[in-house]
Amino acid sequence: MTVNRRDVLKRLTVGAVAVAALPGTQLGKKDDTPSFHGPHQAGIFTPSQRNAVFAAFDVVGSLRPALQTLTTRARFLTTGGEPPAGPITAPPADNGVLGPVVPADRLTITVSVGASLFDGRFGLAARKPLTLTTMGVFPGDALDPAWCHGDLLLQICADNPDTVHHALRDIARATRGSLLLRYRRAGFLSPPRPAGTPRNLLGFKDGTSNPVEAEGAELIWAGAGEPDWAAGGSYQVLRFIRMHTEFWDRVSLAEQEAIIGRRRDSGAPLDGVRELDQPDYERDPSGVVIPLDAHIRLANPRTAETANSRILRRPYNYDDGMVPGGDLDAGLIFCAYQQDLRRGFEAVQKRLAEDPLNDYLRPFGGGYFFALPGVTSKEDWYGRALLG
Amino acid sequence: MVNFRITLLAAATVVVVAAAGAFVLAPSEAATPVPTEPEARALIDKYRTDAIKAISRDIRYTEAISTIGACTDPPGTYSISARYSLMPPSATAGAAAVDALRKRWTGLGYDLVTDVPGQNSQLLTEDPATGFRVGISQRAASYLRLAVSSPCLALPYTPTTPVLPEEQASVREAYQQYVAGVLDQLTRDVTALRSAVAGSDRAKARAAWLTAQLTWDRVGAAYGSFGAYADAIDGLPQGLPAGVRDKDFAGLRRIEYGLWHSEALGTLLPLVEAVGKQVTALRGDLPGATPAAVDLPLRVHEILEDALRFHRTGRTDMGAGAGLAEMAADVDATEALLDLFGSLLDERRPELRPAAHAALEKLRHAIAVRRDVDADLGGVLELLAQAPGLLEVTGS
Repeated sequence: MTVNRRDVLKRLTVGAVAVAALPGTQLGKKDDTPSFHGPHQAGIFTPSQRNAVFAAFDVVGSLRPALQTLTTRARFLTTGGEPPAGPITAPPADNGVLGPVVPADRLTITVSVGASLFDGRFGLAARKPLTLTTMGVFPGDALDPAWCHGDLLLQICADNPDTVHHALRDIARATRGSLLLRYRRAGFLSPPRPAGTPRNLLGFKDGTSNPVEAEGAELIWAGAGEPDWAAGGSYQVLRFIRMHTEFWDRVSLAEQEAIIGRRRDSGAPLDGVRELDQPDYERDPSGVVIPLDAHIRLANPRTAETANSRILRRPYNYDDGMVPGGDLDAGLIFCAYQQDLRRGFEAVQKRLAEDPLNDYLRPFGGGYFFALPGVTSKEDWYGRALLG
Repeated sequence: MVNFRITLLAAATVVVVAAAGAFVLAPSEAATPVPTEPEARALIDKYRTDAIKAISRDIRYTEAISTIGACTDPPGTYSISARYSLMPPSATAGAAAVDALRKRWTGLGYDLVTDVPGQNSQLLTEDPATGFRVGISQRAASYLRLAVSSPCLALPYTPTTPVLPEEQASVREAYQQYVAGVLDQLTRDVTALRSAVAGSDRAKARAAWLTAQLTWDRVGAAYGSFGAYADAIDGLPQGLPAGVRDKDFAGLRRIEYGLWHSEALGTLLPLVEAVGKQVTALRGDLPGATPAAVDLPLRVHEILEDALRFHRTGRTDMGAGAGLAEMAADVDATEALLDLFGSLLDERRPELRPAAHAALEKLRHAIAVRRDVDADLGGVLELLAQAPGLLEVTGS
């Protein structure tokens, strides 16, 4: 038995190294509070926190004061501290969900704007980011209008679900009357099982190959041709994707692995051994080891021509109630950032049109957004450069 | 609705049980550790990857086959193995790869089992630490074969005998005949639908539509079988940019939408005629359009998987509310397909088909009384999901 056990140990060690080397998946230390001020918003390259809510709002009042209030609340919530005590005769200023002193809990609030914000209501039609459009319908989609688009999107992430809830409730209250909640969905990031990239609800590691922060200028942050105010921002794609988990569970492991292109247990590409092994498609031109239509191969063919379509994925799992027919309503909140929607998500999506995985997925909502540039100082606020 | 599972199994490695004796290995050394099946598969990946890294990157994979072979000693154990065909750019490159691997494997302390140099060289080594064997042979100037096999393992199940390609082909032939019969009926149904629509009788047209739709459902065209024909005959509006208003939304679902949304019957006539043409075209093209033999085992559960994903969630309902009736038609199609595989399934797992038929009958009853449909559908699906794995073919 000794050799096998040693082999297992060896694999475990490799796994541990892999975690340390993997950006975007390490769970932050307690004092690792993301900075609220900066040229870019937190919550994009910030290592993913364990919990999130994606909440879309429509602007029904004045935009400027709403964004200023949103900034004030986000600055306080992400920093933490003691909420101001109001008069005893008024309802309490804070909802109390986090106790008397609000912890930062690695909270990030990332504010994005949808194409509808530039429709003329706010005089912004001429200031729209270059490639921001309303998300269209892709083959296989079954979009529900109630789960699509919106003027603003808030991505609220923290290590604990009560922190996420507290923040959304606080912001919705502070902006009541001017921001109307359109839809929201909470998600969670699973812990490494047993190591490496967290798994999605199909049981596979998801998000193994992501650009790193040093590649931001090239792949993620708004680039040439964008309006001046957009510098430091990024295009964001949100997709609510229901997974037919019951059906998936009735498919053989060999077929599941052929669909994804990775081993389920280790997360290794089918031509490798370890999660971080690079698939070598050149050596497998006819797809006998990793099928030509395997998800990882279509999503990122690793060719020179597709290198600039790489996107920063920041997905969360969701698990909510049931769908008609009695199946679990569970799936993925796909969230990704990129420099250009056509070159990024849409190029990937086009390749994925022939993805056998689509049979197990049902996208039902989401939208295209543009994450605003960061709030740079105490005097700055979300969208100040946009509103002028 | 476009589906791609069809292409998958051909690309996936095929798991088979080789004829007894084909994979007889030397009895395992007493000290050799015996891994579990998942460990063995992970080790095969490890040996494969290690070997591939030792040879030139210009050598390309051309085929991969995974097999489970019965061992004779001890009986009741099995060896898991994988073979990879590789194409070197030249005979010299192939020979260099063999030399590189001899160096690599002996350097790692593997024992030489066979080492026949020169043309048609054969090199087989065994890792004394695990009992795994890894070998490379040069079959022709531009053909190398890398093989990795586990020692004899006790598996927690008995692997089944693979289905022969000709057995699968004859099931496909029988299925094609079944579909031909259903399509002949559909041709008559569509003619009746045309008369009803032309006669401006909406009630009659609705009834005729349902008859035609249920007949089409009995084809068992799950999972994008019959490709573009199926899309034209009963394609859905989801995924089209303008949904039910999209110019590309046509076929029986579009007709249903019109019949239940007060559209003038005259406007539906061209749609009915188009369906008729598609049915005729499909009927004529059946030998080519029938799903590949290798995909048919999957249909045993996929027809009702589609019922769950589409009919039960209301996604196919364009106004008629016929989801349950359509599911009953799906039960008919599933039973037909199950019986086409009858003897092949019975030989491998005798209890499966009677259990499946009983569960399908229970589902049919649940549909009739409109109670416990979801529970019975789920139960049937879990049973039917056992079938495809029993019906796979050997990878030659």
